[in-house]
Amino acid sequence: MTRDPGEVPTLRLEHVSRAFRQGDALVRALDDVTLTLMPGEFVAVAGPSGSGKTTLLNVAGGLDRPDAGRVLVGGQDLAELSAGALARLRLERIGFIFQAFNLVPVLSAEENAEFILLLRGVPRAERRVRVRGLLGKVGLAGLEGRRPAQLSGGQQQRVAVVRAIAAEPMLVLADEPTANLDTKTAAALLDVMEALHHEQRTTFLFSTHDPRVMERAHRLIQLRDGRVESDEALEPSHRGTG
Amino acid sequence: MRILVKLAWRNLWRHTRRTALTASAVALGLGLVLVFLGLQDGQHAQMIESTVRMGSGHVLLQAPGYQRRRGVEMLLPAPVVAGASAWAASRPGVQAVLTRAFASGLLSSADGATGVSLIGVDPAVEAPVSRFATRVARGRFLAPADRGTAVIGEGVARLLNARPGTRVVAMAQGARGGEIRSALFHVVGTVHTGLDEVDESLVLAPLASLQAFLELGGGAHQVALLLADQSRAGAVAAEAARAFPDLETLTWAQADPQLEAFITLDDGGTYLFDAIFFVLIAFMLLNTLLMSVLERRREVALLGALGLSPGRRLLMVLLEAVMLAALASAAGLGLGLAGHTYFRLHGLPLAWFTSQSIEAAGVILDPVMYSVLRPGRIVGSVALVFALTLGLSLLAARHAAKPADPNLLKAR
Repeated sequence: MTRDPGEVPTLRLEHVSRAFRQGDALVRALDDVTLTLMPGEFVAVAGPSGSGKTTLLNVAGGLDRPDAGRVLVGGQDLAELSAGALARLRLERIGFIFQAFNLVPVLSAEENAEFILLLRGVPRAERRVRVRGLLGKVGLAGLEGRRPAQLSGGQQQRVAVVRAIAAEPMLVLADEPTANLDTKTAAALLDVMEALHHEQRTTFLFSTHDPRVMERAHRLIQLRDGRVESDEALEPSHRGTG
Repeated sequence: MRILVKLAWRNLWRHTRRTALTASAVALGLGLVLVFLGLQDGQHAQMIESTVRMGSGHVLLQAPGYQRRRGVEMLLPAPVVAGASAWAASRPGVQAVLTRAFASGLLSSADGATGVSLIGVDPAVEAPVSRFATRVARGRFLAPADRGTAVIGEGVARLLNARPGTRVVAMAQGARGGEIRSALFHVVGTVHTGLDEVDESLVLAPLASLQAFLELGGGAHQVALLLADQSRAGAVAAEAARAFPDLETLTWAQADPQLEAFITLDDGGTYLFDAIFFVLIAFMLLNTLLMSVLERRREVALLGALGLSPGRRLLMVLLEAVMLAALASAAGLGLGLAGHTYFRLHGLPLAWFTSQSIEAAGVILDPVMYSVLRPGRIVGSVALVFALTLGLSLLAARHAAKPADPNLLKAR
């Protein structure tokens, strides 16, 4: 892919470290991690449990603050932002997909899916068109009025994906999004995300153990003990080998 | 904002039973407080009415210094009495204008003598509005055509062994020259107020008779105004003071500071009781609001992750509190107004609690308490519920506004 040399990275981590205390021990979840994601990248972060994948996503999305180093989203240093400004940045630029679905239980599937658009003040008619179209694409047409408790795990995760991508963010951070899904549902969701990636040049950063995700990634970052062990571009012919 | 309102409303009904219980507790508290305030204000209003209708008034016009010294010579001349009476009668909301004369003296009969307070009244005006007229024990009250007649307290009658038909002689200092004068009065009735101190000193006589006896000319000691609405006493007194700057103008509270002090003290006790009540309610509210936020920490963390700012998360919890307060206030108002309406129409008989007549601050309480609920009391109580709910919800809402632990968003 040819890139404009002046293009601003979607995400840049510079010497980021984050440690947690567990009893008397200090666990380094991220240890001097530096990486750059350019617009339109489809990146998977893999590694064993405890290697720092979730912490990496939390720090990248401004949900957690690093102990050292800088995190820049679209060129904006997150350390310079107040809590309110950080929330605004997440609202406007970042979409989250969690392993645990994390839908708002008192809102219907459609209300959950349009939540970010609503906070952004997108008009109702536009919201409906965008969200209903995406819900239809992920096979949830007719279930718009159901509350999360009335949906299966796979259906809830599809709503969460629609919520994350409906607002067309510049960066989607997905923490093991297919971990709790069957093969067919996982494939359908990955299709939707891949399509958005192609159409909008949305940058995706997945943390995953799932080979189904890795085989679609264009770049694979391996983490071990909080450090980047490898960071390799996957040619189409090599995908699926990670 | 609409999404916050929607979230707040639905969150409120996530635990229907808990919300209903909390709202009911607040509503019951507010309802009871309104009923208590209504009964207490009703009792105070009755006490004020009893006082002003037994030889006083809501607003009094007197000679300067009369309230303190009460000298018989400190008269309002006849033209001043006429002018003040005409002015008062023309004011809106003035129910009656009473002209009175007062003197301390000695009343004697064939069987004894006792010190008394003589009050000269115009029977035609006084009889329809005076509590004395409704408390005639024997005989009758003074009639407009009466001259040289007297209605005496039951205690005076007992001390003098007098009854309707008995002749008594009054001795008192006259207004001119200060010599002691005497006059014969024909007892036509006795009154029983229930207050020993009043019953053992009261002598009511026609104003004209007392004016002649004490050489008052056409003058009097007091022009008293009875108002349809006692809460306007201050405003009417201020108007009177402007109209008659040379006279002493008093409200009932200034004329009877003991009663005013009692009401203030009684109100203070009620406010303390209400405060204790509301503090108990506050703990229940705080518990509900805190529980509601703390059990949703994961969800609040999610809202933050999705871009709901700390301020909007705080607002969401405050909206829940406002909705809870509105529901509770509406139900509490309904309860309070229903109780107030019942006690306004049917009253609360004091006989339920005691068979004795009860005296407070020199006033015999009416045997039935009727509720009087002023709009200010309703607004104040509801405002207190809202202020309390909002204040406490801020404590809970702070938790919602804090940066959340991202671990809360992990798979359970």
